Amino acid sequence: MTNQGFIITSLILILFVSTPAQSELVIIGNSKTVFSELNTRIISRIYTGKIIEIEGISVIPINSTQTTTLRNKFLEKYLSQDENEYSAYWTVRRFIGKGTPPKELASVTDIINYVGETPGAIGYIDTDSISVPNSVKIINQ
Amino acid sequence: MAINSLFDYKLLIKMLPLAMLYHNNAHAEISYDFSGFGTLGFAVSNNSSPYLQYIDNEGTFSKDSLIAAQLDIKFSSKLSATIQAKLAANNSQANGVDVDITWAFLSYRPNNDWLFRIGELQVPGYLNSVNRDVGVTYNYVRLPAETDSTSPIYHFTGAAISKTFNFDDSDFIVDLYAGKKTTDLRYYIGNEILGAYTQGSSYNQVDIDLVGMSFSYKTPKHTFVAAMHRVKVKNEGGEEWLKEIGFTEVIPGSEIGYYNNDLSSGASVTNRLDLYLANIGADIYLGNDLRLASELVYRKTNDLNIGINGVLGYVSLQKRIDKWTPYIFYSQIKTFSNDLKKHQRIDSNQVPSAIPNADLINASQHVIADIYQAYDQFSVAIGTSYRFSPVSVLKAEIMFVEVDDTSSLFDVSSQSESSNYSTTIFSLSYSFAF
Repeated sequence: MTNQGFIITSLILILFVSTPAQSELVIIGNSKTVFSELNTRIISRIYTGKIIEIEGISVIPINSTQTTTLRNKFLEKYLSQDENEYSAYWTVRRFIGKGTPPKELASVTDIINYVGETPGAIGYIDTDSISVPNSVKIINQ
Repeated sequence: MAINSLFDYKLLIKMLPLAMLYHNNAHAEISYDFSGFGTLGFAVSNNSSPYLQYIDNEGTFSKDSLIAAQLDIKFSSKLSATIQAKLAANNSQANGVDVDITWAFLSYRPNNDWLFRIGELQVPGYLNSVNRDVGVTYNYVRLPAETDSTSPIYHFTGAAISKTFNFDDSDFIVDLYAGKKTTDLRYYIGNEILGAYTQGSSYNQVDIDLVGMSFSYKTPKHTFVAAMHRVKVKNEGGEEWLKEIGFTEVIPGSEIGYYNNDLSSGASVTNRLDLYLANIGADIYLGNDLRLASELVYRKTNDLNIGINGVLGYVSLQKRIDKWTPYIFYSQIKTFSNDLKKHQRIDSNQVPSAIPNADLINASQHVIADIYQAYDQFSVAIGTSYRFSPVSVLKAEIMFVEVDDTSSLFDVSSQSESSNYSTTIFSLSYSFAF
């Protein structure tokens, strides 16, 4: 191997090894919740207040607080909306008497703890920021 | 400050203990959510005759300004209560502001598709009927008045049932509602008759029973609505309404005479009427951030031959350009032709001055025409909204209102021109929610 070939091969290996693991947004639910998997459409309808129960179990969606990257990624992936569109939607829905937006929690740890302690609760986290404990299970990714 | 509608609280207050009882059994977590919204709006016209009660050439904050607060109490995912109070200029009295309870209901949603509500509710069925006070939810400075003025009331004490049929990417919603309301109907008397009528606003207290059904079809981009409403109105104060207007010939065999409410001249009176309303509407996304919205309303009573019988509607086009949404709308209200002609005959009827009490008789013709009410106008508005955020919006609009035969949306004194005139209105408002 020539010096030039060695350098190129080394650079490729360094690049490959140092690339960070791809972070992934996942939907989590309480581990004792009967539903094991929810599709994107159902998750969208839960977070827009159109679904409040699944298989007779009340569903309690949890949002990350506004202006977080996590929330923006969730809205884009599952609702095809940005923060402005989502806020506008709930502004109308609230004042026409059709309910209030999902509860908001500030940190991923808070979301995991709440979902883990509350039957029927679902939330979203970034697997890159924290590992998934046994009290919750991944229901969409 | 007049505080009305306190009785509206009573039903909710009675129901809350039941909700608490349910909550205690369900061991659910109660959550409270406080929110509010408001608008500070100024409007001025080039006409001394007020439009929509308030807008004249002196300018007013009264027509569009309001502030409201809302408390949502969630007992569980299925049971909740909402109360909303609004402070705004009083639309049913001449002066002052009024605290109005616009929502006060207990809501039970047993599953995803059914919703039961009881208490103080807003009349559904139009594109913006249940959010008409919330300025941040639409781009117009105010909803097209020709359509928005259709209903004698906007909220009632009663019950509503909603059933949602869910499809792949859309919802079909059926709403049924029924209830009651006591309110003051306003009309403007443009002439003074000593001992009988004073010039200015006049109010009839009425008891209203209403029932209706609405259908909505919603996709992520489009909304279609259709509704039917029956409104039974009973006159509780003031004199009875003229069902048929009598005519007395001053000179027998001639057409010279005057309209009146004398039963011997063919007049008949009633203290109740059934009003029927049917409406359809659509809000359609055309692509390229362009929206087309339109509503059409048919309004008819068989119990009175007056000018509220007619057709009204509007069509609007809105184009979103980043934070700006310029819009244009055309809106029209027109009393049915025969009723409009009759109004004109009454309003223009004058007896010769040689007839005894001619001045009094001639003045009475204008008063009867004012009570009869009639509408023949259209408006064109060009405006824009600028959104600082989803809950903060500035709006500006210029509107041209053209009155042909007459319009009871203007308070016109008998000394002023009551037909074939135009008015320009400039409006600026800021709406917010929190």
